[in-house]
Amino acid sequence: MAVISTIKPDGTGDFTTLALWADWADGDPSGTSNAAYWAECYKGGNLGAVNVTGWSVSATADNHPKIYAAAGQGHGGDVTDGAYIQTGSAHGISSSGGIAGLHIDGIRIDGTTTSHKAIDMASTPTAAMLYQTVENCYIHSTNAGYIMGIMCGNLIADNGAVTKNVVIRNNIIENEYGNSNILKAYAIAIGAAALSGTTAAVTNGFIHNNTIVSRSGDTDNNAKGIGLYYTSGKILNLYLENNYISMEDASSGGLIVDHPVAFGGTLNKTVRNNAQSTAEDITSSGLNDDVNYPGHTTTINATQANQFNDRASGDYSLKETTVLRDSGKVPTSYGLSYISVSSTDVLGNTRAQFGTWDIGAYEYLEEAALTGGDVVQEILIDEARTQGGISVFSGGIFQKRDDNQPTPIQHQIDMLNDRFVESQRTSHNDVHG
Amino acid sequence: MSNEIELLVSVRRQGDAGVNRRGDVITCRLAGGNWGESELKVHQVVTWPGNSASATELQGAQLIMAILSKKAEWGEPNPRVDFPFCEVAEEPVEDDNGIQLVDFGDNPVTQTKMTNRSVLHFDFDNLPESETDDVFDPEVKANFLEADDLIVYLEGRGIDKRLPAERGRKADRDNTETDPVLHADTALRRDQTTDIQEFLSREVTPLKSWT
Repeated sequence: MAVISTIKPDGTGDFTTLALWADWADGDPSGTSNAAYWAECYKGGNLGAVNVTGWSVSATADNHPKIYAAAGQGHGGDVTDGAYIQTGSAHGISSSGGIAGLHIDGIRIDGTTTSHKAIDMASTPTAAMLYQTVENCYIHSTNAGYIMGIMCGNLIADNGAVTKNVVIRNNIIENEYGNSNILKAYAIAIGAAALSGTTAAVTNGFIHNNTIVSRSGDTDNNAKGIGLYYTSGKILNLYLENNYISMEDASSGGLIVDHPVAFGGTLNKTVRNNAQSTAEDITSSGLNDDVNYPGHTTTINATQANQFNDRASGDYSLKETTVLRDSGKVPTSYGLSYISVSSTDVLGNTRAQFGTWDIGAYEYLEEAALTGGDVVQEILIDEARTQGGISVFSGGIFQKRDDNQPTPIQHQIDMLNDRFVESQRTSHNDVHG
Repeated sequence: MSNEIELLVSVRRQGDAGVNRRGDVITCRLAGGNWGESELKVHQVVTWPGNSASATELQGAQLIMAILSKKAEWGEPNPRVDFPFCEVAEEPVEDDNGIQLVDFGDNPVTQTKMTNRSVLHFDFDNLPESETDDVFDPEVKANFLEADDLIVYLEGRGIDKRLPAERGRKADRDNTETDPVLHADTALRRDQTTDIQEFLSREVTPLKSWT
């Protein structure tokens, strides 16, 4: 049973910052084990950086620590909205030592300083069978310079023969360029690697349906999409599916494998149905030669560059005409009891919509699948009078006529109703005289 | 300056080892700020700097007041400064044999780590038991305390409060001395990590996330 705490920066919940929540949950005050602690996050201010560390967790599907945006408190694809963290002088969410099952869902993370990552869950994990999930987050930077987005897996230290399962899906990551230090400026980095030591360890990485965008000029060739590390003795089983890396105005980017030969290690890869702007990086990365799925990376040339509704303004929802629509595929099953493949996109809309999956974090919303929110929007803008629908301003239900003049259906319903009542009355009189 | 700032101090019972100690300041707000229901029970609000603050404390209070006031001016609801008295240090990372790790591009691996969560530290030992019972009871919202009523420590520069295993240098990991000064020359405090003039000159547009 989860111990849910509300994190409301405005002071109307249990805690006002994630750090205060973690400091409390650290000690397992409910005696349920650290696996039970969930932080339900709300808007109303910066949630603050948090380091979830030292927790002893044996993760199961129902029992794992979680940091997530409450219903109605998500970013909605808006870089200024939703429950959010500003990184400040620390990583947004970090998990020194690795916490099994830590699940992050729907949080917006604003990287305001260099040197700090939005999410760092890769440091020196020591327990076996670790699980990590990052989904539906919006990671971006308001600071000139690089940010590192999401870093997961086994990295840096030699951690013994551990297996780690990582799921990174449905995230939006705006990348910035950076310097040449390790891993900085990658939108997503995953590793089965150590800088010293060769003990066998396995990372199973399932990275799918992420939208990665570079909106800066990348003059030093360091803006990168998805980085992979695997060193001698380590195995990286990687599934890269349905991701879109949009770096049309950068000189580098895309799917990158760093030093696959020089550092040994084993990469078992399934790469399919991804899309990016240039062929260069997949050519040199070795990611375009998957024997099982040859040619399954879509290269989008300059004339097709903009697949989004309004890239310049940060609206990365898909255009009606995008080639990303119905170009994805149901991702490979994770084979994990802890978590299964999600059937929704970054906004919670169902995948797929009248076809197969779209590439990227967003599923293009077909007209017939308008959500309740869309209907409300229609009501609010009062186009219902001319377009057909319900108008709260004018009152009544309207249908669209060829001359675009609103026709109140309610009047017709009333007339029909009158006729029906009259008919019933007549019938009643016929029977009962 | 009297008690214009409210500090939220950790009072959890996990002891004094490691970087997360009882008595650390985790965050702070302007007096009259809103605190969460649970955090008022499991942590302790201390009003500060009080009437007997040291010159260093007063200097710190001015900096924090400037930041909080600016945030309020921007329209940030319930503004706060997290870890206002933390110390961070950039350190090399070595393997178990003391060899400096290098990254895949042969650059030395370094890390920026919080070495002391709060150099301003409170001790509740001189409070009467009737008050400490409430302070340490996680089911009770204790009354706000004043810094003047508590024992206040201002720790020296460069103390590494982390557990030895969490340190980057092998020699530091081998050091089991209590509160070793490992970063006397490299540790940075708030006034060195925040360019206050740059901060105050920022133009910030209110976010939808604030409403």
